[in-house]
Amino acid sequence: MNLRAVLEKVLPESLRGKAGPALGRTMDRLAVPPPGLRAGRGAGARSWTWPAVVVLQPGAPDAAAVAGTVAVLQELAGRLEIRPVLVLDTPHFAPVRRAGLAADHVLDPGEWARRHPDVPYAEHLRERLGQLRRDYATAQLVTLPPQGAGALDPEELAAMLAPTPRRAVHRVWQRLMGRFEGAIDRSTSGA
Amino acid sequence: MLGDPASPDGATGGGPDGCPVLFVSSNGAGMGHLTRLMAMARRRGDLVRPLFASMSQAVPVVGDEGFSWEYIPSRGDLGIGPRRWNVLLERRMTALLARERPQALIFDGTFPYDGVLDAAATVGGIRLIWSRRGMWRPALGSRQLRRSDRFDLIVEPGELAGSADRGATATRADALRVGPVTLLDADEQSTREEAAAVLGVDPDRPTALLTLGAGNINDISSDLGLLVSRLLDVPDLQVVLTRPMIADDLARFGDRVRGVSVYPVSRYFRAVDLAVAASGYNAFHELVQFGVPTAFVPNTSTAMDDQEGRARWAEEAGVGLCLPQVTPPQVDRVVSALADPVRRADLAAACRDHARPNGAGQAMAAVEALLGPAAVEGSRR
Repeated sequence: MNLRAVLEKVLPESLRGKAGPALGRTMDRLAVPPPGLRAGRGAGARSWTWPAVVVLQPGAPDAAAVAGTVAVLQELAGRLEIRPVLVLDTPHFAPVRRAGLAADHVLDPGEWARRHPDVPYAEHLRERLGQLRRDYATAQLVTLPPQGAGALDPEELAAMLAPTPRRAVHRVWQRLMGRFEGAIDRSTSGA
Repeated sequence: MLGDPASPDGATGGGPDGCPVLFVSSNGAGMGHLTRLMAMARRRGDLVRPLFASMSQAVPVVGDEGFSWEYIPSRGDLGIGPRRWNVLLERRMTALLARERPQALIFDGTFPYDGVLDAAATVGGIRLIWSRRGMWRPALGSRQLRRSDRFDLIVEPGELAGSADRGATATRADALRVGPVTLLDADEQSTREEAAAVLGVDPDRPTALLTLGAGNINDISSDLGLLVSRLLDVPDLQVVLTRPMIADDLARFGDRVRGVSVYPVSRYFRAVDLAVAASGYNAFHELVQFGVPTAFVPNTSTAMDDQEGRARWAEEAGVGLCLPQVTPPQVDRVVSALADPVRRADLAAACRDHARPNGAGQAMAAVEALLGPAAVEGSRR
């Protein structure tokens, strides 16, 4: 009998409906990185509990500039055991998706000014980046130049992306919680 | 740029003082959700200011129309579990709604997410509209239909194959049914010569369009290879592929095959004499409404869309052909039919008989009626 069947036997339907969202919120509050977050093609199940890093590449001029970053991030993800989330303010998402990495989006300064001319862009960006750090349960945020990772020294970039050293007990706790949530996700369904 | 039927001078967006309406689409197998919302937004009244938030990475196409957009990663794009994703989605949507203060949120997708509905409830004062396409796979969808009462209005984009709809929405009376929703109207199409130039074909020779969509239709490479090779057996026929193939694959077919990446391809249908296409909502209705003789290949891997039902109906109604399996005998059958100019003329005539007015404007008018003049005017202050 799998976990879903057990839950269905033990919990009444009304409670089951609330249990799923409650679990998601609890894990979010515990700052456990979302299990399953993509780490690039070929990363495999080993990457399930790797820490996330938010990588911002504002003003990428074209898809090639993003593709260059993606190639570097793919290599570093496996080497450093991290899951980079590439955040763009331009429409060049295709290379990120093709590589099996996670992408996210922030409004660019021009779009922000059109929508909210009275609010400084910096204020919005600060708030949005805080939200991204919370979403992916990471304190690490690396900002790249518009040309992308290729414009930086590879070892300096690796040093910036390397996960913050944590106490062993913290790493074990995060890994256990990630595996627990992942197991629940695999054995139950929901949208 | 698509041009804008709502404003003759081409201006878009409804102006900075317009009543903000947020169009939210889920990420489906293709671009159907996003395209239906764009079709509605293009037909808005002067005082509506559309904003888009989509889980489709193709969302930047709405920027070509002059609409503001934001990309919100889908669960599939992130790879994470449903519970956590809904937490992220709710937080993201709450921030977006609090920031942009839309008067209405129009969701197009088959599953209204908790994250969207809960965020709207948290922020408050937002009219919720569900653009709910029909033709669901039989016996699926009861769970999401239980969320119907959280919407102020449900609009059902018309379905030409509606008589074959055996899905959970077919018998419901909770939706406003409008005509089939397509991005373009016929008078927005390019002339044959202009369209041929964009597609890179000779307007004086027949052209086949091969568009199997974004879904996983069996082994798409071998399906495409078989279809292209059989189409090239038709004398003088040129073939246009909308799905990118690797350069080597394309080159092996010679100069009678072109790969194109244009949106919306329906603008160039006047240069297309026949088509082989997936039977997703958009391609199906664009091809039939615009009278293109087509063999429809159902994508069987979609979660909810009954593409088999739609393709079967097309053959039964005489508006198209159904190609349920891409096998040599089946492909030979449809290609030989489509190669016959008399048969093509019959199919095109049947398409014209079944065509109905575009429902996008009607759907948008219903949204604006729901908002009422007070809401629209209020948002300008």
